[in-house]
Amino acid sequence: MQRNAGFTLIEMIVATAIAAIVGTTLMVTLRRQERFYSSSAQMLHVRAQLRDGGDILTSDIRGAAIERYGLPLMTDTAVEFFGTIGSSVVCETPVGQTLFLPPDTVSSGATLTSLLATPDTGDIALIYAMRGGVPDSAQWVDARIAAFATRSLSTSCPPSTGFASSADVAAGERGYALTLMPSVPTGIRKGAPVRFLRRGRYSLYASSSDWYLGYRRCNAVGSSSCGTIQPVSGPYLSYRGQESPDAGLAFHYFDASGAEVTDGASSRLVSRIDIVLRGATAREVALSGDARVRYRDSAVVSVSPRNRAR
Amino acid sequence: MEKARRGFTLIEVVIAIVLLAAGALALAGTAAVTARRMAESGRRSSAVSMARSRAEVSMASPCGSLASGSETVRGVQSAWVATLAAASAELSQRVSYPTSRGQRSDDFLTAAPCP
Repeated sequence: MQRNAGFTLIEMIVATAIAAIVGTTLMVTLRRQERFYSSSAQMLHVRAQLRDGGDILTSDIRGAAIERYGLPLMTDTAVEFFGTIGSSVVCETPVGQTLFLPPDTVSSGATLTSLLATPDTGDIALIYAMRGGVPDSAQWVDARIAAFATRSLSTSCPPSTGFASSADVAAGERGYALTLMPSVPTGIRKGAPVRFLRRGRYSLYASSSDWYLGYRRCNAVGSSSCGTIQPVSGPYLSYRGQESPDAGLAFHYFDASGAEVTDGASSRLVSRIDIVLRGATAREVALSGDARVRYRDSAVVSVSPRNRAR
Repeated sequence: MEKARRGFTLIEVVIAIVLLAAGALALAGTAAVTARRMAESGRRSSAVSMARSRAEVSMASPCGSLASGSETVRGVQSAWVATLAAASAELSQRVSYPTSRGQRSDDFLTAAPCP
């Protein structure tokens, strides 16, 4: 008889109380856990954006042609330069307005043409030319690009040039035809290296309520005139003066001796650019315990352009 | 027979709930581990970025002015040694930072031409 008896009221109350305490603790823990993971996701996003911006700026500034063209614009939060978008070699000593370049991939495995972006009429070609035919007189000469297009291998960079083979012709590889304006510089020989430069400007700009690192493509020659801005990475903290500890982006320019360059007229002397990027989470996050703070982080990167005055 | 078909007692159910809760609470401990790992990876990436920047700073200055040195920033210690050769310079760096398993260090070697 005793075995079939139910629970007493006291037993039920105690059991319910224990279940309630355990349940509440569980809920609190799981909620805190959920908050921690969403907070860390936001924090990691801030770090990733800082790394992204730093990587993009350093790789582009490293290849910028500063010795030749300087920095058409250098401010605390914007920098304009001629960046390298590709390189190639001349297949044949040119006759007329057009230079011919080998395809991206050739069967020998060599990379002769490498393009990050397709050059067009707004870009500049720098070609290593022997003026006067004396090797020691070789120097980089520039010309604007009138046209750039692919062309069948046999009419651009045929096997007879030695740069491509008949296997490449059979594989349907296409070379490139590069037309220059106003004229092809003198002294360009077969095998001369070519670099393609594009003028562009990086700056911090506001879009709705957030601040981003943006890129604008600019005209190849003359005073600056740039197209619409495209976001590159972000969001970062807002624009402030260069020295502010809250500035989202700040550039500092230095010459070879380590002295700061502030005058745009001396931009060809710039041999190092220090970049500071700062970001914060959009909302307050809880990373340890219940304290809610806006997580902030910063990145300081130095970059030394390779094509600079020495 | 009667005994075999009997269900759980209330005590057994309560103990089961408490055990479940203890298991679930152990989850909370993972947050601390994750937070520590994230702090470590943050220090590690600042250490790498510091080494890269140091190499860039050295390349920006004439070879003759290269010097050895050391600094400590954000808990990351770095020390670098510059070696000059006829036509090039070498910068060997060691960055070290604290982790949960003691001090860790990474080495970097950068060579630059001297025009």
